[in-house]
Amino acid sequence: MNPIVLDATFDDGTVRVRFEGELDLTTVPNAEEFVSNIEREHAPDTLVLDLRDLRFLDSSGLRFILTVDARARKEGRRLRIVSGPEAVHRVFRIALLEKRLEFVEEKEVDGA
Amino acid sequence: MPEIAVALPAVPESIPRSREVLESLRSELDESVLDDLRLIVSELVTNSIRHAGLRSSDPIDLEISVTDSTIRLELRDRGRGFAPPPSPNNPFQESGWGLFLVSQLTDRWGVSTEDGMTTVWIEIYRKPSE
Repeated sequence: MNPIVLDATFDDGTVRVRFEGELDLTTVPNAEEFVSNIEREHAPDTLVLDLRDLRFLDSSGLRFILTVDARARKEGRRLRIVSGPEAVHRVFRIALLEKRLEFVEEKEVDGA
Repeated sequence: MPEIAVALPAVPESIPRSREVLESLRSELDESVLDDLRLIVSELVTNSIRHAGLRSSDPIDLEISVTDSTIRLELRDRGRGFAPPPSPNNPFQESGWGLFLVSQLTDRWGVSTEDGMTTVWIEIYRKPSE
């Protein structure tokens, strides 16, 4: 059993999705359904993925985030990612994606 | 020196399970090395389940051995072999990410096929301070 907890907070045109648990092939389908429903139903101007409570992410999770990023670019939505712990963030670093995605620190998002 | 050998069913739930198996090495290895191994084993088991064409009853054998100098991890399955060695230079292709990460985190790795069994192995050299 490898549960993932997802919750969304709505604030004007911004939707913030919090991830808690592990993102791999077993949990990506849940995450994809959750996030794509929000994109479709709420059409946010800005989507924030908060990875601070994510404990693990592998290439399945990476592909999911890149898919969300590709949709955001295509549909004109801003995507911001609150960096996760080192075990998670380093996957983006190794994959040379730190510059391609917009990572933000926690307080920037809280103050936005 | 620790050795681990487990047989996992070819189902997605074996991906998180393969990471849990590593917990028994916690007293032996630094957390950063365990992070590397968690990511590596997750990628290799995912690859096996997605691409090897296994039935869920087919076992995936995972073996890990740790010596003073080297950590070696082997994954063996009855799959139809391995995709041609990855393209670390072009990780943007659909299935390239997993093996690109594996190649970045290991000192050596390889694939072999014999008698219908495919083995993928990785080695990480240990620093003297560990």
